[in-house]
Amino acid sequence: RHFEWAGFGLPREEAFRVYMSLHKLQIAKRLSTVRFFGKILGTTADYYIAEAKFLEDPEEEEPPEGVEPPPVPPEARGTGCNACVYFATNDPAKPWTELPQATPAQISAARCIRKYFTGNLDANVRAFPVFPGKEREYLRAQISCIVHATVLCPKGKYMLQGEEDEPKTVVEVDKEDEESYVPLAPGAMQSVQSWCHYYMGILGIGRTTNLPKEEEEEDEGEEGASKPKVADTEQEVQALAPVSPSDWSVQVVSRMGGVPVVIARSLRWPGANSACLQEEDKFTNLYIGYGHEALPTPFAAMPPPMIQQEPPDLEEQQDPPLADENILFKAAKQAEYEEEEEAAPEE
Amino acid sequence: AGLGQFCGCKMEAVASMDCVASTGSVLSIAQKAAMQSSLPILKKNYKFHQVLFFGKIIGKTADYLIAIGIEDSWLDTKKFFYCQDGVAWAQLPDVTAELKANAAKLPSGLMFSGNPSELFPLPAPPPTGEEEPAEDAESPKITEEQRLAVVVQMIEAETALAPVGALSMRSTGAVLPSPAFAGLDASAAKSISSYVLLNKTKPTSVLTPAVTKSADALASAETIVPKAALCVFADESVGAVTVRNLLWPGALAFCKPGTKTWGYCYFGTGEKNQDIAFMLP
Repeated sequence: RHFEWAGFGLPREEAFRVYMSLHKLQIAKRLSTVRFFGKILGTTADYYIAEAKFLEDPEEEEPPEGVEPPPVPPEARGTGCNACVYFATNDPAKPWTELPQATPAQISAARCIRKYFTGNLDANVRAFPVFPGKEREYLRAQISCIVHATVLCPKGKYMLQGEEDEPKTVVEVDKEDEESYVPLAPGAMQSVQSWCHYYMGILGIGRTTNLPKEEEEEDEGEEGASKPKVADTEQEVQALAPVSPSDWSVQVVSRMGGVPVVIARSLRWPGANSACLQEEDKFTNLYIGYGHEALPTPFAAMPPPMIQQEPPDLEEQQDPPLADENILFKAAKQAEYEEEEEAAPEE
Repeated sequence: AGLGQFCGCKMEAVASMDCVASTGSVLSIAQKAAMQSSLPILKKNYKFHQVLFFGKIIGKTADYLIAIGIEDSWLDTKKFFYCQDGVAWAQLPDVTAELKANAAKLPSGLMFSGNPSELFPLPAPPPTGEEEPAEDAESPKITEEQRLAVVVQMIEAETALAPVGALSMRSTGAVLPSPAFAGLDASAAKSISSYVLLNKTKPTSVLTPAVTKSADALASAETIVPKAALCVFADESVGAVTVRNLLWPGALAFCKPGTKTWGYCYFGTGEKNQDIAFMLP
C-alpha cells in the first residue's frame, strides 16, 4: 500500500491474491516467517517470489558418493546466502515450488551472463559461459544477488550482536534500552545516509563469508612457494553496511492527511524499492522487475577460450628394415636358448 | 456519437491502466484523480481530437507524467505534454534533427534528474588537427526538457502498437480510429500478428485497391527487430491482453479482447535495452 502512493507495486486485487496465497503457503510448509519478495518478469510467464524461513530446518541431504565437493563449498542452510528459503510460482493460485539452495558456483556464473527468464523453471539457460543448472538455479542465484544488494532497513533499527570472531546476527534493537537505540529524526529518512543494507554483501567467490583459512604448514624450506593465497581473499562486507548514494535515489511522496512515505529506488537494480513511513516505524522492500542489474557499460559476453594450437607434427622416422629386425630377433632367441641350456644341465 | 464512443475509450485510458498494472506500474490515486480533471481541460484548450495518457518517465528525484494530444491524425500530428503532479501540463518542445543528434551524444544510461530545467553539458567534439580547443568556447548544453522530448518521441515512434483494424487511413492520409473496429477476439489477441505499429506505414503499391490500402496501411508488429522482443501476456482476471516490449523495457500495449478498449503506454526510465541480443532466451 505504501508503494502505491509512489506509483509502484501490484494492483490491489493482485496483491490480495498474493497475500492469501502466501498465507496458505505458510500453513502448508510450516514456515515461521514469510515475506513477499516481489515479482520477476519473464518472457512467457512471470514469477512471484516469496522469502521464508522454516520453523524447523529440514535435514541436510548427504551428498552422493563419488561426487567431488566443489572448490568453494556452499553456505549452510540458515546462514549467508541461504539464510532464507525462496519459493516461486507463476500464478498465486498455483502451488509454490521451493527453489534449491544457492551455491557459490551458480552465483559467480550468474554474474557473467545476462538472460531473460522465460517463466518455466525447467528451461535451459542458453548462454556462454555455460551456466551450471537450469532456470530455477539461475533464478535462485539472481534472487540472492538482488536480495543482498537491495534489501534495506532504516539505520538504527537493527544492530549486530555476537562475540568477536564469530558470525554476528542481526537483531532488532530493543527500544527500552536507551543506550543503543537512537531513534531517527522524522525528516532523516529522506537522506540516503539513513538507510543501510540489511544483509551482508556477496563476495567475488559467490558467498557472503570467506572460506575458513587453513592453518599454514610450518615448513621452513618452502615459505615462498607453497604459501596459500591468503592475500587474495576479499574483505567481507558486513551486514548493516551503509548504502552508497550513487546506487539509490530517495523520493518523498506526500499523502494528503497522512504521514509522508519515503521511497528509496535502486539505480543499480531497477525495480527494487524500499519504502518507509516517516515517523512511524514501518518499512518494507519490494522488487518488481526483470531481474538484472543495470550495467554502466553495455554487456560484454565472455569470449570463448583460446583455440588450442595443434601439437607439433610428429617427425617421421625410418622403420628398420625387416632383415635388421630378424637379426635382432634371432639374437634374442639365441640368448634365451643359451640360458635354458645353461639352466638345464645344472639340474 | 461515434466520436463520443472513442472519446470514452480514451478518457477511460487512465482507468484502463489497471490492465497494465501487473508489471509493477500503478498510478497513485492522487495522480489518477488529478489527471481525470486535467486531461479534459487540456483537450478543450487545445481543441484536440483525443488526449491520451502516455505514461511515466522515472527520474532520480521526481517523475514525469507524459500525455499525448492528437489534433487530427494519429500518425503525424501529435503533441506531447509533460507534468510532474498531474495538474499543470506543459508542452514539450518540438524535436528537430539537430536536437536528436545532440541528445544522442549524451552517455547512455544517464537518468533523468527530475528537474526540467537542468542542463546537461554535451561532451565537446574531439579537437581537430593540432589546434587547441578554444578555451572560451562553451560546450553546448541540452536541457532536460529537450532531452525528455527526444526520448518520448523516440519511444512513442518505436513502441506504439494498435490492434489490427483499429486505425485506418483516410483518403487525406490521416490515420484515424476506424468505426468498423469491434475489438479483437481472445485467440487473435494473443498473437503478435494481430498488432500493428502505429507509426510505421507499409510500403504500398498503386495497384492495391483503395479499401485494402486504407485498412492495411500500417506495418505489422512482426516487422519489429528482433522479433522476440514482443511478449504477449494474457491476464484473465482483468480481461486484458498486454504486449510487453523488451527492447524498450516498460513499454506496453494492451487491449481487451471483445471490446473496443486498447491503448499503449510506457512506464520506465527512458532507456533502450542495448543488450537484448544477449538476453533473449
